[in-house]
Amino acid sequence: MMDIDRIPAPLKGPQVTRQLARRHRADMRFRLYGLISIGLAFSFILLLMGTLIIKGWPAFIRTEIKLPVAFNSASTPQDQENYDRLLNQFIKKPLSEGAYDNKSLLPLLSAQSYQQLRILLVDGNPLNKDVHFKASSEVDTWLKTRRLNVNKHALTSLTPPQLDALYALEKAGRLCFAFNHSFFTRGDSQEPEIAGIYAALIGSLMTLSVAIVFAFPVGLGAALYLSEFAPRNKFFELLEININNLAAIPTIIFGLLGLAFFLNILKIPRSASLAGGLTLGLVILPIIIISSKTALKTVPMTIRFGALALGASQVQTLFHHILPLSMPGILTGTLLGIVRALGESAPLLMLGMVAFIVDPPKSLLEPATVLPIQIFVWAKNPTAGFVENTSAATLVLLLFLLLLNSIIVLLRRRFERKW
Amino acid sequence: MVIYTPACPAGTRPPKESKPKFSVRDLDLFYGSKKALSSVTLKIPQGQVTALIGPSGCGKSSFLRCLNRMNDLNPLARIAGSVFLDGDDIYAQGVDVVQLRARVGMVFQKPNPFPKSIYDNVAYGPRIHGLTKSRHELDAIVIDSLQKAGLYKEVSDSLEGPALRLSGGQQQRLCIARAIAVSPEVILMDEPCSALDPVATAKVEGLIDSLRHQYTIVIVTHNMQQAGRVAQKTAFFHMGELVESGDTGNLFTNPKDVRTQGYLTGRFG
Repeated sequence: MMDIDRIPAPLKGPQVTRQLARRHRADMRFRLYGLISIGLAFSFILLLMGTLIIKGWPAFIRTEIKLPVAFNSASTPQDQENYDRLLNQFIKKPLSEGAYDNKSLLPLLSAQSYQQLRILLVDGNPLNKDVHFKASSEVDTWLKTRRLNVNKHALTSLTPPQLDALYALEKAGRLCFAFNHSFFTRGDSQEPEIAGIYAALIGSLMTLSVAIVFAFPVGLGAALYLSEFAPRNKFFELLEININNLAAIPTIIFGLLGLAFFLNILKIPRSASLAGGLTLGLVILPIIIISSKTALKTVPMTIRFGALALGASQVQTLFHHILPLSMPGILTGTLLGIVRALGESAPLLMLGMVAFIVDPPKSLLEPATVLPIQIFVWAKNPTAGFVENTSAATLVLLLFLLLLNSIIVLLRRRFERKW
Repeated sequence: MVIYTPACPAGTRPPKESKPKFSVRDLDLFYGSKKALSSVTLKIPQGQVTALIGPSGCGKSSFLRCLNRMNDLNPLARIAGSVFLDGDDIYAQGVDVVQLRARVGMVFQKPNPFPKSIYDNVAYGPRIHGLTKSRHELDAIVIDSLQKAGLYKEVSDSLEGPALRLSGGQQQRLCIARAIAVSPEVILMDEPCSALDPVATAKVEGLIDSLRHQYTIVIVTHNMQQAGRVAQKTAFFHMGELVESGDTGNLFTNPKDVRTQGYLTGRFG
């Protein structure tokens, strides 16, 4: 039998004090756990960013060799051989008379240098000035090791005469670092010193655009129907469970679907950004549907009733009240989807988007690659220059993700709930 | 069921119309398998305030929502019987609920202004129904509605200000102005004062009294004193049944049914 008349003892006395102290300790402990978790997560992020920056920043600068270009001939040379001979002359000039092997000097310059020279001489005018030429990857690594104290363990394949020439050039003040423009203006290359992310960026942009144009209207339409019009029955319940499941499926499965449907049935060319974009669209479709539905559900029923009781039709209620009020949530969800799509690589591997892409795609049907895959391709390449490139490209990707996420946070702040 | 014939207490205006505004016949309402209303038959006179009273869950709000078909929004709701508005069955096939709700406005328990400006709240109804041709006409309607709702003096400087910055009582009067703006014939009010403080309640009650000459008003309330203050007719609901209805004075002083007596004397409810 319970003693109903018993009155609880008042909160006083040593026992109560002890109990209170225990409760406060539990509070403190719990806060400490939280702090530890946050500290751990934050330090891992710092570690990641730190390594990337330390490894990646040298990729943003490149060694250049300043050569005195003196060209007076009436006729511009036609083939690479003649340009190479000219380059050889120029590089020899600042060196004191020494027994430098003709064949050993040219590899100090980037393999693309003759094209640079050809552009300079294209109009056949006489020329007499110092011109910066990009050094080869070996020279770049060598100079960075010397001056920046990076890549300490990199083995150099430079020969003693080449090293002699480099020392002489350095003494003459003809070796210098410059900002690596071509990292942002060129596509992939076999030579790390001229390989860039431009083609991958354009590819990413095209693929993302296709994904958004496909997934946003379809996803929003589906969410609107499911949240506002769908009858409540078993079929739609099942459908919603399936959409939720879809968001959790490994994305490589979407790649298989894209391969089977977009490439084999619709005959979209391999590696095309159209196929990649549509596949990524499928990946982010459930994300957009789920977040849009949640955003629509947060609009209170009283608003709907208010509009309907005034004689607004369902579509008027939707477009005049519910959609504007839930737009920030919908946009946030869509941006989350875009962030996801920007970082996605697995499904695109299935569509053959790992191709070696030098020129940015000019249309949606041309072979393209995207940033994450460019990173993946470079990461597989053991050359020292590509290691830098990998980290640098990752930094650029992270920067984009950071930008998009900031926009999400801003959007949330901007349109705080008004009711 | 009791069908009352309008009789007027001494001193009030005699009703001109013998025809009722609403005539409800044998109305049953189900939510899924649960019966919310059974066989309700009631006539609601024009140009008067009719109060629906009864304990919580008695079906008075459900009944109110049958009058402008707001129950249609609940997929589980099902009705049988008929509701006539000016002699036309509003549940007949081919009836346009959009038009019906323009004729039968509604004010809810909790003030629910749209998160827009005061002006846009009142102007929304006229806009969607295309009632005005020019901004000038719309302005006139908005100001007229706000004046009828007794709110214009308080908000005349801030028509473009957000409606959600108004106090609860002001918001509720804004909702009434919003309903008036489409010139409805009937205004349904679902416990319009239950979320308001006594001062705001008094204002809304005064407003209801001033509106009854122009509109037929049906008000749900759990507050018997309020029914006594504002309503000429009262209907008492209990457990989904209409127990008794008639002139407010008669019903309060001389209830015929024991359940009505019990409720009025505070034995339950």
